[in-house]
Amino acid sequence: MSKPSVSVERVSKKFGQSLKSTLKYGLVDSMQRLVGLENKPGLRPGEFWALQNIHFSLEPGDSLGIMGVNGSGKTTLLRILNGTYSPNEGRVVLRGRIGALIAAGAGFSPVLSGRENIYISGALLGMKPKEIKRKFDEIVHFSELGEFIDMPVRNYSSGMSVRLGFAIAVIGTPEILLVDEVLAVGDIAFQKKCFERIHKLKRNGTTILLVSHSPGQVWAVCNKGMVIHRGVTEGISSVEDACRAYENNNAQERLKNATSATGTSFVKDYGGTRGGSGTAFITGVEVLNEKGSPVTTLEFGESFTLRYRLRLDERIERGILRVQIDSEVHKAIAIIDNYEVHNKLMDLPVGEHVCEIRIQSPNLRPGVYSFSSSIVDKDVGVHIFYEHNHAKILVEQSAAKFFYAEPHASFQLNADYKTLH
Amino acid sequence: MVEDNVPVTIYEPNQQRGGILWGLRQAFQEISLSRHVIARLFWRDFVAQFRQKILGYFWALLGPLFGILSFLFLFFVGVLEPGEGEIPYTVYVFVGSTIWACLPGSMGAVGNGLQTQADLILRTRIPKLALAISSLATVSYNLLISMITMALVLALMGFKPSWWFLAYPLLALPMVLLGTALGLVLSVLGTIAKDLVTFATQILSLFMYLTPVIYLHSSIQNRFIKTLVDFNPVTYLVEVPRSLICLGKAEHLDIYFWSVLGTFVLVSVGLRIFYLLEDLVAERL
Repeated sequence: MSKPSVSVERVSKKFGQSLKSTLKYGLVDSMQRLVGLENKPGLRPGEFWALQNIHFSLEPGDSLGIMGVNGSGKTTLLRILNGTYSPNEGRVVLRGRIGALIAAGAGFSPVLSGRENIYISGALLGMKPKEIKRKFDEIVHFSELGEFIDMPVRNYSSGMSVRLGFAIAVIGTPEILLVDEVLAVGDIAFQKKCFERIHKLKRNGTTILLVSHSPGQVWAVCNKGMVIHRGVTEGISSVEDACRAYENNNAQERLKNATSATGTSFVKDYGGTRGGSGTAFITGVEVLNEKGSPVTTLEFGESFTLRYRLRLDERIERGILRVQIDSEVHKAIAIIDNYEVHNKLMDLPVGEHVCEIRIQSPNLRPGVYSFSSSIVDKDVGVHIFYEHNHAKILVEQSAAKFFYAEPHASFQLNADYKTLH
Repeated sequence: MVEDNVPVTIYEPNQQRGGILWGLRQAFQEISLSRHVIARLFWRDFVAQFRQKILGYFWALLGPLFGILSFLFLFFVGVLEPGEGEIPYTVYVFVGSTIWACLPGSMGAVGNGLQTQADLILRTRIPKLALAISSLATVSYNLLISMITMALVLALMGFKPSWWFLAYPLLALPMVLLGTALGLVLSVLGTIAKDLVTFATQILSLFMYLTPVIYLHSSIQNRFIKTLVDFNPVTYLVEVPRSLICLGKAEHLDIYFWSVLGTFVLVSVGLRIFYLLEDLVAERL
């Protein structure tokens, strides 16, 4: 059995939380080392683990997508793999020549021509002068710069500059390739070419580690995935499972500060997030799962109930309780009220009431949803009470789905085709 | 490391824990492996410096020449005539300050080397030592330029130097080595505490007054200062090359050789400190 091309063994990395603690511990560590003392393992006040106990290995030809929200530690891991940062604990073993697409465009001098910069950037990426000379035409062809190759780089458009940087970085034939979200460069045609190049390397046995925010990019390139959340990971899984876990983590973060697609427009229109005539109130709202427990997270397709507590200081004889569901990007994806759904109005006497709206097997895609509710008197043209975004839920990714195609749609392909598997 | 014809890279915590000899060997390997990069970076900065200028590469000579115009002006109007030693005073000061300039020049270049190349440290796998000392290529080129300007100025003053003048780069090398040793330590410590290089530069400009660069050794009246100057090894790193260039002979050659040896030892110590601390650099850039 071949040895793993990438072996990350219980790697941890810590950083200072502030510039002050970074300076202080930097000086302390330096002095300790200069007098022959070992630096203390573990965290000191003002430090945090950017990565903790990361452990995995990859075989030649594997491609791993590393995902995580901002500040999760994925770039720190890539920098450790690139030799930029030293781990505080653990060890990394890499077998084979390493290429890094992190370095696309590194060292470019704007006053020099594209031709001259190819030699500089190539050298910085570890290519020998002969190798650069040999691959020069291929680089120019890949970058699509043609006759502009002798023009100073500062006169290039940003797209041209990025294409040149990427071409130099990607034309090498590394055995391990580290990629940091740079696949999304240039126009769509160039991006397609970049993906094709990456796939060619992959077919030739290059081990690829791609750090990305984009599950779509990871899914397109990788066969394995790993999610890092606050410096820790549960390890490698299938790329689909990793994308689901990443989306869930991401949505959990968004849930904390979620604003619906309605955003501030309603607030502006209504003069606040909560208001009304002052005679009727929604004093509480809860989202209940099928067991009747209050929840903030639901599985995909799970039925749920919205339980409202109402207080009326005046009777409403022809009352409507209405809820609007907003997603993060679209407002009013569903509006439910007793009048539209059941063609019935509620007679609500003075006092406190509990009303429930049950939503059966909803087809809400994974993501964060918020609820805005109102009490309406059918005979009065204004909301007796309204409150925006007073409840939120997160619909999690489903283990059984990936693209969440509409289950009720029909699919017919009137063409001859063959399947690959 | 190579295993079954496959290069193996291992990253471990604080792996650069070798001794002084290990540091020298590691430095030699890293510089040798990165020689193409160092050459390209020098070429990039050199070419970019003179591109899109009317006089182009002539600026390499004209720049330093304009810099000494004020000095020549003071000489020709007779302000700089405080009496003659064995070497005419103006020549004494000019040659002395040219040799001295190698020390702050190389210290600043190497000391700021990592901070100026921060982007490359964060994005490429080039050894940090190679990036730190890549600026030394500029120091070497400045050494040659200052040799040419020195020849022109001495000719204008009507002073004929000895044949030792041709060995100027070699004679100035100990000052470059001393600056490199200090710069290596500052390059790593300077990324942790950003003001260290500035602080060291200020200290060095004060230290110049403990070295007979612009005054004659014989003119020191204070005995304490005279003792300090005598015990300052840099005194001999400036005086001996200056005397050899101007007079073709020098005193205190034995102390000079010990001082030169000291600069080699200091570079080894500087490398040791660099390797001990280099892994703390990137995360603080």
